[in-house]
Amino acid sequence: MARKESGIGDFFSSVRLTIVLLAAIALGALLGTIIPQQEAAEAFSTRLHPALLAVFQAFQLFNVYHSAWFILLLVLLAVNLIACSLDRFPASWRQFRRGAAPDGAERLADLPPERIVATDRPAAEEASRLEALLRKRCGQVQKVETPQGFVLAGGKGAFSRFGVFAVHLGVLLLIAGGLTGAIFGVRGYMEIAEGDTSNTLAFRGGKSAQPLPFSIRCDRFTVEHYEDGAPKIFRSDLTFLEQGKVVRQGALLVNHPIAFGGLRFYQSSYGVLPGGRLALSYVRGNGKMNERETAVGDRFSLPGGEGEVEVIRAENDLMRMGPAVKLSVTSTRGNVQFWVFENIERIKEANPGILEQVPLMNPALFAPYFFSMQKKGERFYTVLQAARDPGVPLVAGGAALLIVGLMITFFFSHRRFRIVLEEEKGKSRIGLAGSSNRDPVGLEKEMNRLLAEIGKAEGRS
Amino acid sequence: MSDSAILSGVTFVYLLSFLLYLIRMVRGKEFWGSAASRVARIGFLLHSAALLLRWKSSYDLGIGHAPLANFYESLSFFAWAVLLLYLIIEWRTRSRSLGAFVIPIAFLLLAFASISPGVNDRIQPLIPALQSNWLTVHVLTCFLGYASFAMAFAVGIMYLLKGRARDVGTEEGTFFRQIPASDALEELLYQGVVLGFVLLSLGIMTGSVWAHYAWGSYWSWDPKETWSLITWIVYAVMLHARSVRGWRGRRMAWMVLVGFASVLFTYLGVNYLDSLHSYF
Repeated sequence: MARKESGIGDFFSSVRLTIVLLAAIALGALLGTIIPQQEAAEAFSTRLHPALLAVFQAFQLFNVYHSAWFILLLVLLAVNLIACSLDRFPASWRQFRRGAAPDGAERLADLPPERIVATDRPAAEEASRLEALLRKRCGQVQKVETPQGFVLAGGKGAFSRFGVFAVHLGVLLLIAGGLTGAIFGVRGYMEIAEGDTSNTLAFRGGKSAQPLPFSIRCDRFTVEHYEDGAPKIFRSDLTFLEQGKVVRQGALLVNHPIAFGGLRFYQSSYGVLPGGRLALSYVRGNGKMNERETAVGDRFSLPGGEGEVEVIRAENDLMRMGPAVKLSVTSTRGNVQFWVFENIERIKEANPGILEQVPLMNPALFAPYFFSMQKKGERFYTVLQAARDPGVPLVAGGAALLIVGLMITFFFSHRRFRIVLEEEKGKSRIGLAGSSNRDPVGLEKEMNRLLAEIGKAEGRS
Repeated sequence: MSDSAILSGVTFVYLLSFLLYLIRMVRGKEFWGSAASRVARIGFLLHSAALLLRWKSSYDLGIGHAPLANFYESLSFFAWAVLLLYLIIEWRTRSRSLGAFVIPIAFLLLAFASISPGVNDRIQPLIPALQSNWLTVHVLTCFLGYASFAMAFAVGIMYLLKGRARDVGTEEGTFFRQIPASDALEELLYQGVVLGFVLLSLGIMTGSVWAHYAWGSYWSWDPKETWSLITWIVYAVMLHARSVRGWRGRRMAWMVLVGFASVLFTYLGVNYLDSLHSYF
């Protein structure tokens, strides 16, 4: 092979470099999973020795996946993949084009005896049968006459030689798509309270907020729970407005993003705005219901001086059972403390007998009074994530190519068969040879089947 | 009878099967082998029934979903996939020698699921992030891939044991005579790695598609994602070393041990890191 060799080219097209680069990328990725990254790094970094901290910062170890050296490794891997593929493609192309052309030099003497069968018929009678047999398997069959008889050749699965290039092109597209997304992508957040409208896209990490050419109103935010308290649905009912006019309305749910104005919106998080009011109600026996607005620290006397009530705690979601306030009631009988839940009826239904077992949860613990509470005027806010990633089509294409390439590479192989026939005194001896670029076991099995077919037809004559 | 009660029973069926496979290795009598194999198949059928029953129960509870949605269910499916692959291999190769090395993996997975107090065996409803059709296909591909790597790992252990026996000259003992020839083992090991690699690639890809819809990003460098990439790279290096640099034999067996350690860390170890994948 008259190929010009250059030191640099050889370096970049070596598989040894691929292995070193892959190992380095794996190691870098591993570092990123044990060293806290980005926002999480702040608390950790204060505990480090200053000298060590300087080293960590110099090597961008708090942001491994976006560090210059990690990206450099990915770019080097891309260069290596391109060089490797360019280096190897011509040879694969030749193997693909060469097909199965026999050179006529094949001899039965070169084949192992178990791959040879003998027949009583001359070459001329066997030719068409053997050709049909091979054609069924390989499509095209080539025939070369030899002094002793002929050689038939066929091949199949030649395309499998390109699987590996598809895989590598797929990886290149993945890297390209990832870098495209990192450079040109946008990822921001919007916090919108129920009833409010916003057109401001905020960013993490101190980048200044950016106005959008449209605005979004959050009409309602809903959170539903399963009986065991686990969340069931997070849902924002959104209205998209352009110049004050409604252009689209829709419900945004986790796993069901909404695409609008070149961005994709995702349900990311939610919260409760401060400023909601707590209403505490109490009733004595079958008497009249009293209600008062309350807060932690609120004190009041029960009618007739039967006791002093103090609100000592208020929780938005106590033990995943919803809002609750803790009361301390002091009377001549002493002091009792208990929780008053907003959803006490539902809690009782889900946990029969709980009030007897846990008196701390019994709103009627200070008999004959019964307390209840309600949150009023509470407003949710929703947090939307908005993203635009022009790298996604590249990544999707790369991933598809990678998978198809892997299937072609591993589940197909380029197999070549040669049937060698030599005639002597009107009798034939037929031999089978085969080669494959991978999967020797599969080749062996197929050759055994093919040889059996050659032999089986023999038995009938 | 609840599915988790059946599963506890299956754990012991697998233990019995493992012991019978082991007796076969030590005594060299195929009688024990066919008993072990029968027990393994009964265990697999019971296990399949438990999975189906759990699936049905989740619908009876009104929170219907495939039993692939929490750590307990993933352990059970992992063990099931190991048995599935093993029984296919036993049937295809007509060799029972793998059993003594593969069945204990399934047994340990189920024992962990049944005994560990940290593993909740309740059928849980799907939280919003898990309410996706991608959940099933993602978990399916990942764990079939893990099972395939587990198979390669078992073969790697057999290869190294056989090599060691050859070194110290005990190769002709009853136990080691039951282990297939080195090149047959090598082929099986390679096939396990290849199948696992393709499935892991599919698993990562389906996970990315899902993340794209659920989290707004196909890749977030979450520890589980990152470790799945590390595992992918380990096996990619192994396949390149084999096909281009011609690595064979013991080197491949050692690589497959490293690879499986990485699989286990991706599956279990990552839970000790802060992860978005906390449900598994």
